[in-house]
Amino acid sequence: MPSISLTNPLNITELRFNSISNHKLGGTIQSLDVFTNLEVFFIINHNLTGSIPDISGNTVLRELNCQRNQLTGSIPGLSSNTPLEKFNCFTNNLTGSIPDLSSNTPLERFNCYENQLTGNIPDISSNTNLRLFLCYDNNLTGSIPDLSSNTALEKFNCSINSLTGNIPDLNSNTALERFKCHDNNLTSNIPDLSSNTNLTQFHCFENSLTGYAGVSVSPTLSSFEAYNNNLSTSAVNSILAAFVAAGASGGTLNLAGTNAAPTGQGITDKATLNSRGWTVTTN
Amino acid sequence: MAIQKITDVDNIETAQEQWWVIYNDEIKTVLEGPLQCSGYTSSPYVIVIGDTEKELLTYIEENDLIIPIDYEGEL
Repeated sequence: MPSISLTNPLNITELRFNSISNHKLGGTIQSLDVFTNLEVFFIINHNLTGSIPDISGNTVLRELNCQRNQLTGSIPGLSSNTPLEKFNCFTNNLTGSIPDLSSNTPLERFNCYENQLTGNIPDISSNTNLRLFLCYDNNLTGSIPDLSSNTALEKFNCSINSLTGNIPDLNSNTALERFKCHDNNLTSNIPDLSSNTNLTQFHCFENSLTGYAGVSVSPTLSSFEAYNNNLSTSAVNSILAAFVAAGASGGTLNLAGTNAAPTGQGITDKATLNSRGWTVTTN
Repeated sequence: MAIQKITDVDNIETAQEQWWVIYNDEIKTVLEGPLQCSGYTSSPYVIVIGDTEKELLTYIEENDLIIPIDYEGEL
């Protein structure tokens, strides 16, 4: 097997092992301790097994990307990696919990979807630069944390887990473009979305949500999927009214399944949206 | 039941156990689904109804429909 000789690892700031066609690396990731100046480590789409090594000595690391391998074990502690901006280890077989991220204030992306992570989503209130938090398709429990400090957040996806509690207030998340929390065990209300003027997709289907706490939505919101919840007639009617008031043309709005049916003005509002090119499904 | 393709989608009823998909026939792109939920759908596009998700995925493949990748900007 060919080997790579690194005679002066102290000078190395970036290691990138992107896979090209069928040329994939196997084996495990060895310790990165010697690369004390390592800023970027990419080893994407190979057949690597074993765990992510301890990176506590890599104190200038800005990006770690081990996406699409067969890595197991838990995510190592990241509290020493204070400059970390991007952590992408999605589509592996990682277990254990998401580590404490409170020291990683520059963190912009934390993407660990399609693993087998358990436990709670940690407090991310310190991560005020966070733009993407994608941890869908894991086995996470507990509630969605307070997101009011995450004003840079653009995409939040924690769908297909076992989360409980309510959807947090999103009024501070004015940069939010996509919010997805479908296929969980969430209860209470769909929050007010009137401040989310960049929001294009809001998917909360397959939960146990009962109400809607808002009155208006942004005209940017063109995909709203809330089917198979326990939304009341009042909630369904209010959501339809909010979309009519937003005035946008075209989009998909699904309030059907186990939700209540619209009544009165709600039925009229459904027809109005249809006339504007919307695909609308209700009971 | 065989796959049903309906082009005039005006309050089309789907049952709880059925799977369905909405797509734009002009640009051959899936807009919603495949999903399973009961209700009444109205749409300017095409609805295809089947008994299983697999039936619909086969339909999507055989008709060269595009399911938009939900690219989240991983890199």
